[in-house]
Amino acid sequence: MKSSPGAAVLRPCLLLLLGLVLILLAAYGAFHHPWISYADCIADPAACDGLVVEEFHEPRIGEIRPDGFELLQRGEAPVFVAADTSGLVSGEFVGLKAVFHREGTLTAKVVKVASRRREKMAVSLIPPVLVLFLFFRNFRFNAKRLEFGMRTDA
Amino acid sequence: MPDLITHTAIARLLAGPFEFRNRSPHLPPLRIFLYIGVMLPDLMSRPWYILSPSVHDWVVAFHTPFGMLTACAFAALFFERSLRAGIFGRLFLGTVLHFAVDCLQKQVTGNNYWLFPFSWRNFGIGLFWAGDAIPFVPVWIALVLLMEVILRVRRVKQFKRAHRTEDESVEDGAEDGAEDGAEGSGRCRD
Repeated sequence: MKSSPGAAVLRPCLLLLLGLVLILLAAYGAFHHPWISYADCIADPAACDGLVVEEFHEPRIGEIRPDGFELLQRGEAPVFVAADTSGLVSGEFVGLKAVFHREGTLTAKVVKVASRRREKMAVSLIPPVLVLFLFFRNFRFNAKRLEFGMRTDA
Repeated sequence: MPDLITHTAIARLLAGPFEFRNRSPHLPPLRIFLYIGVMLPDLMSRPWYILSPSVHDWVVAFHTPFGMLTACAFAALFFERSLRAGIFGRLFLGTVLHFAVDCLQKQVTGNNYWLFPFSWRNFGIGLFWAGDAIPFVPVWIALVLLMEVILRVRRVKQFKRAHRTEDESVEDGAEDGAEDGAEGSGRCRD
């Protein structure tokens, strides 16, 4: 289909506008979210004393002790979480809401073992691969026009 | 969030019955955008913070209806003009289905910020944990396969019936033509 000169100008403008909106939304999410992360608290422990932390970096359960467990996070040192350890499984991912203490330890408010998270991630790889295959079987990228069109040989 | 097989299977099972009336042996290629849409909120957010947890807050916008509305419009612009509206509609409908299924699951922290960026209110009914859906993955796959077989058989039958009717009408037309020709030649002879 041949596009009019107006449409040829409109498309890059819309792409720029929508791209900008996406960046602004991402930035709003990054800087104006209401939750407190463990990383924020480690940066300023005194300010976070007694606050509820909701965001951790891929939290997993390490060693389980009678009065709590060791919380393992990607890129962070292990931290002790005082909690009821019934039902906890070492090595599993965990959903956690915990009160931060200025000493760097935590007291759990809500702990839920994220059972089968690894299986969930593994099975979630299958549909995108299948859909990607179907997509490229039906569509072809036109580098000249920077857009996908339907394959005529599909 | 439930796994992507659960998400995609639910969308397929809901969309499948609408294809019962499809008379073409081939399926419309645009239908895959519904399934891309169903996966899009998770594909645009989860892999990034699994690979690099520090980006979590930056991608939270992509797991919201408004973020997806913008992303679907952005993505649709990378397609031929005649396809854009159809692609945008299917992508966004897919994301709506995604959020509808997500709100059924229990959460420790928030996940369904439907009013973002206007509010951080978290919506959810809390019927099951995400991990509880995993044992049902083989059931979903079996149900989808069963539906595909039924749809395929029905499509082939409809296609054959349509061809048979077409062939019969062509044959009838040919016979009528031959009779007309004979009459015509008779007239000529007269």
